Amino acid sequence: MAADTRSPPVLRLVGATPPERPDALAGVARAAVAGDGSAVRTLLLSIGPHILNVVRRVLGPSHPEIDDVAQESSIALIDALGRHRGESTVTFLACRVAALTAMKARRRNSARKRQSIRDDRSSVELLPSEAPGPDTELSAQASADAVRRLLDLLPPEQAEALALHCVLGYTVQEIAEACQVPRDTVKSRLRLSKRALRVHVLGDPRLAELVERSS
Amino acid sequence: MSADSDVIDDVLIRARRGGLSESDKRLLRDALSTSTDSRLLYQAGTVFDRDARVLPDDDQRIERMVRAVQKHQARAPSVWRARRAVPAMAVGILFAAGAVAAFELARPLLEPNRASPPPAPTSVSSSVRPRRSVRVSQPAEPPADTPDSAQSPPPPAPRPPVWSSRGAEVLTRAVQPAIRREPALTATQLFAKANRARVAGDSEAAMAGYQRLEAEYPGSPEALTAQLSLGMLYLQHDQPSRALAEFRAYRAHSSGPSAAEALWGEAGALRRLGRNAQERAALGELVARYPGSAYAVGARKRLAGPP
Repeated sequence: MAADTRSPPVLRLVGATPPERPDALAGVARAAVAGDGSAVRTLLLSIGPHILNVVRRVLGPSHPEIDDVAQESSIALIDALGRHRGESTVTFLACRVAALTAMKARRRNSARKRQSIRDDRSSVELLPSEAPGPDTELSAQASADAVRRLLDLLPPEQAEALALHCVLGYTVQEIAEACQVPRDTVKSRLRLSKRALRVHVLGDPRLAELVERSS
Repeated sequence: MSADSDVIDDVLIRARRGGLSESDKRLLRDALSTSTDSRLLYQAGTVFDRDARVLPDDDQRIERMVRAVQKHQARAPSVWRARRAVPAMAVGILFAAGAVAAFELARPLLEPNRASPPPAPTSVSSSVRPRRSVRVSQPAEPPADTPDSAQSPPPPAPRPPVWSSRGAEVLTRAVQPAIRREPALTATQLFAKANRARVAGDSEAAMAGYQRLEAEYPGSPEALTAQLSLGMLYLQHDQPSRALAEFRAYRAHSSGPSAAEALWGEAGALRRLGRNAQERAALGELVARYPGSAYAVGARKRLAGPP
């Protein structure tokens, strides 16, 4: 295992992200932090869809608090931008802040989760016509629910790695670069969170059956 | 093993983004058939990607986010903002005071024209605020039994303020800087202005803007799109006949992606009018012509329910 861990990294393809360019939103972000109302509007018109996207991923598309958490994320973003020194793009920072804010909201509400979270399977977007098949659909939904539940339970660093990788869809390399964290650290956190996910799923007979049946 | 796991992790992500090479596709297939972790992560990822869809009313959500941030900043203004705001406020106060003083000086010169009815008490202020005078008032909803023939009666022309000629000249010179006549706007500007009003929740101004756009630039792409927005606003304001006319006018000229939304609106208007058979026909057409649209899902649910 140790030898495996030291083996050469990853993919060239993944590493071959586009060369660094000046962040197009950096200027407007600075003006927004300084209190320029039109800059706030411009910034949020640009990255608002990303924030909503991330909040929906983390909370689920029918969660009743999507609006509130998106607004909370926007405010948290403006505060975070005040401390931002260009380590990552403004868009990535917005996604990260939104993910953390949404995870915080999930944890805050975990006590009344059963009441507050609607059944995602009844969502308009998830009705059957586009689903590949009932079993696959059910299994995928169960896996997503398991990941979301795990975000409430894991240590914050592991939860963030899982959220950025699995929920938001960033590669390990992208997370390491944007978060200014060693790549091995990201891999380690991700490995631990995946192990926790496996234990969580396989420990639940219903989930385990679903996942195994879909294989 | 670990390196393979890293490779697979990234292949799973890139598969969700689309555009895998043939060898990566093979890797993905192998991983999904042999690894529980990969299967879990990939399946969950596809659900997360689907959950992240943009919804039709996201622009309103984003507008609420803007307001939340602005409110937050207003509560805790930074030193920089305070420094900038003080001179700006001083200039504004001085300017407003000058305008008021000039108006007070000119007041004795104003005489009502005896041949015309006396101006309403708000005439003076409305002349200084031209935006109020161009706003089109909404006539009442026509009877529900004649929706298709319903035509908007022309909006009442704004009553011009009545001044004696000398008084008007003096006033004009005195407060000229404070008066900003509504400039001629392009179709794009009118459309953007109406959209801003709609997003800000000022439905009356939004409807007036869309109506003006349709009147001044008939046949323009903006006017065509405005029909859709106007239809939705009419529907929200319980004017289904007018809404129906707008949606049908839109569909008569457009078969683009928003036509599904127009059909959905048309069905909603017909439902409000109690024309259930026509509503179901519209929903059926929606499902048949735009099966992949978000509105088709709602249409199917509605069709599956009681008529």
